[in-house]
Amino acid sequence: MSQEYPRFAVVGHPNKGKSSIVSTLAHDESVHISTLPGTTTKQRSYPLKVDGVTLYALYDTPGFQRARAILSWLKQEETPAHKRVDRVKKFIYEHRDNPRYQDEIELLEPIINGAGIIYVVDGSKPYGVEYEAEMQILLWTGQPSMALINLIDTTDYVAEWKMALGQHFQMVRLFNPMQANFAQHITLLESMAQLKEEWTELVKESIKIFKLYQQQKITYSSELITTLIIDSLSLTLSSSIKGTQATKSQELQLTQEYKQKLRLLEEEAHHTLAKIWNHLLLEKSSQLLLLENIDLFSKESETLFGLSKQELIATGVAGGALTGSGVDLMLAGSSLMLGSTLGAVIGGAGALFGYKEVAQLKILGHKLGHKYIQVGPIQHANFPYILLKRVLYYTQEIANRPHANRAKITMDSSLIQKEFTLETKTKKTLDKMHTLLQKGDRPKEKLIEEYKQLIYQILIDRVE
Amino acid sequence: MSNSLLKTYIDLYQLIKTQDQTHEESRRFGLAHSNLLTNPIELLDAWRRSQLHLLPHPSYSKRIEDILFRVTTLSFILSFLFGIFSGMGLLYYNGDAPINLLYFLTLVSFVPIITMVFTLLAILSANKSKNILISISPTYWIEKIVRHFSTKEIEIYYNPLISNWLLLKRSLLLGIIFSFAILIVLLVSVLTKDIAFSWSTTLQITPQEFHTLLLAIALPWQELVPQAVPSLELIQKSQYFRLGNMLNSQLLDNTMLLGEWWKFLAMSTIVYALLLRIALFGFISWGYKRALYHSILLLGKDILHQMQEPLVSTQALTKETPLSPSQEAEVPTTKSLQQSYPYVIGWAIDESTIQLHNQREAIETAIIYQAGGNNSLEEDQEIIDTIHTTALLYVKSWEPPTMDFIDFLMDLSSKSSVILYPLGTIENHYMPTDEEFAIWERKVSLLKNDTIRMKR
Repeated sequence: MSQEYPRFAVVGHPNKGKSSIVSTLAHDESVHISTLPGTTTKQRSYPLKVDGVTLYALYDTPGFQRARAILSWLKQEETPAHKRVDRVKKFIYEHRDNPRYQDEIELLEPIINGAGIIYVVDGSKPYGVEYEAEMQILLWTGQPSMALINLIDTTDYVAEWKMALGQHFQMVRLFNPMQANFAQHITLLESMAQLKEEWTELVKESIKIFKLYQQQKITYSSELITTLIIDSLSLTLSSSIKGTQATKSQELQLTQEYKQKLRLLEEEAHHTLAKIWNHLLLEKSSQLLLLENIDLFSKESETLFGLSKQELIATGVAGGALTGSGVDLMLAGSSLMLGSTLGAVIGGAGALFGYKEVAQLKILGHKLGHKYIQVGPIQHANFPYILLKRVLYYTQEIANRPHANRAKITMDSSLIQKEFTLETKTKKTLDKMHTLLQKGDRPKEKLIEEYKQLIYQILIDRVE
Repeated sequence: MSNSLLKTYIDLYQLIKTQDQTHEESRRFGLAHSNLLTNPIELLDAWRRSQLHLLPHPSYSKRIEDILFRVTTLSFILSFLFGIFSGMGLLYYNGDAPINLLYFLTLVSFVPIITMVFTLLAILSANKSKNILISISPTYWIEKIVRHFSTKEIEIYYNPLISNWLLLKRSLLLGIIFSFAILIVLLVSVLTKDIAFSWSTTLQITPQEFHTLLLAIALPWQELVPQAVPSLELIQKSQYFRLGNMLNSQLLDNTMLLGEWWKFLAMSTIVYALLLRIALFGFISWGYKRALYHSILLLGKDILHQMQEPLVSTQALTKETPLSPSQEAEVPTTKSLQQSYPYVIGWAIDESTIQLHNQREAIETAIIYQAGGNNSLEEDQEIIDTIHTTALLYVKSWEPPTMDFIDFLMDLSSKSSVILYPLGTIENHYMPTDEEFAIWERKVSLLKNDTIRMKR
């Protein structure tokens, strides 16, 4: 079979973390990981594809079950070293339909088709001679190989494993798929690139792509966090008042809706972040965004064609002044700007006193004015930081979480607030935007971009 | 172009809100249009066109275009009529007294300059949602009333980035139409009537001072159309004082000359009310187009990312079907061991370790066997062949049972009863963890073999 791109088969004894390693290396949370042995029964390919072009592929495989029997079959005939791979192929060919060797056929097939070997052992348990038959079979395939020592537990038998594995594999590396960060993933890929000269370029290209992919995810995350802050801090909810003023229950209902909406915004952002980092199945044990001690600013107001009273007065003043200035001009300035002043006063006063009356007017059954109660934006100075730290913490947790690690993310509020201390200089820019949003103003694109960059920088520092 | 950009913006808005485009689809489109990858607006517009068939009829853009067309046409007609009536009012002449040109001059040169100054100031804050200067404009109020009675969908284009520029553009266009109407009235009046212009003011302004002012106004066309620049003589001769119902004799002597003012007034209208406004209109059109570009890019940011950035995927292409759990049966367990066993076997365990565990459990035995590990299958078979009564079988609890072991166990259990003893690691004081024990128990249970018991 022709080999256009490098392939790596992750093989080993049952229950030594092969699927965990594939899950972490492929950033795929859908890989079934179980504490029970023998749950992987078929080889499964995990290609790294860029625009549909495969750069390399990983294979998750079932564990060895009858290694001694296969080795015994292989050794039945005297086979010189250069013919051993053909002997393995013959074994596969002759036993393809034999259910006794299905697991071995599944794991040997990709290797025979040219895949490099990644042999996984558990370095937290003692070395055992029962592994030797497996290692010898792999040697017979003649493919480039490396051993990965996975420390599933806290005990350390790495030294004895290294001694044994070093005799059978080109290189031996330590890799814990439950704790590996991005840098460790890249280091492992760099080792894999050294396995075969022909693969080096493509695997190095893959490393570049992974770095780009990581950067993309951080960029998307910082954009999303910025949007969450803008949407949450500028959030207002309003409800029309039917009578003269809002009732207590109306105010309470609107406040509850407001809190729900804020939590929903946060929840949606967390969901999208999980999607960006391919962690949609990861559970979260989180305290809700606490809003009980935060005063939700509420006010009653009235608009006329969408303009508040203040805005309408300002419009009236400006309009009146403009008209009056015409008179001043006609008098060539001899009126000492009296026209403009009078115009402004008349326009402003008209808007001030006529506002209510015009608001009550009905045209085609529509009232021109609109009386409403409004909740938000939240004025609490620390609220933006509570929200920001929560989302940054969540991002940090999912970004650094290997895909093999399926433990719940715990969002402990007090821990989060302690975890994130921001520099004064950073806070200054953040504050600038928070204040604008809390005042109900839309920040300029430049400030939003600056904010996004700060979030990006914070994430870069925290995503390993 | 701006209108088609507005359509692009609204269609894009509707498509993004209603269509779920996957990253893969977007990237495929981007790669198929790789020549446009460096031109994001063109790329987004191409994507919009390819998706138009998915929009319901009529689309938001069609509905908004209809509304805008109606509002614009109505405003233009009103503005034109207002211009005609204003011109007719200002140029009303029944021959009793000359027309005071100061009113006309104010409307066609000073008012445009003032409104254009306001427009320039409004441009400075055009990107803000609350712009008081824009809300002075009559077009703003027309829009407000239309919005008040319109459906929600048209809210889309009321993005302040776009709508403020659009309002400024249309306000200026109304001004141009208004001024054009006035110019028409002036020209028609000049053609059809013998109008006498004069200037009159209560202020102590000498003809020389007035001449200086008018020369300043006429500066832009002084060289090009010198006949449209009023001379001092004309100014002196057309100054008008009302004394009761009488006209001064100087005016009456120069009635032929008084009509000459129309050239100056027409040029003032053309230069200040029309040309300057047209120049500003060009600038605002450019600003509006820029605002539309910016809004389209902002709106299509995510989809552009997807089109321009390589699609990286690392996941498996097929879904995994997890192994369904088999029916488990009870495995007989024993908590205590006998003091002696005729055979003690260690699976992949060396002899010294087997002896160590025998001593630890105070077990006496005559024969110790090492099975599995580096043994050949034949060697294991020889062990099985020698066994006839109960055998104690040590296994490493941390190594899950492979089928190699199960083959051995099944063969062994056919010859004798087996006590299976999973040993833990030294760190765990040779006790298997619950999880390890459960794995062994589960596997053995699947064999449904009564001759096998497990040491708990």
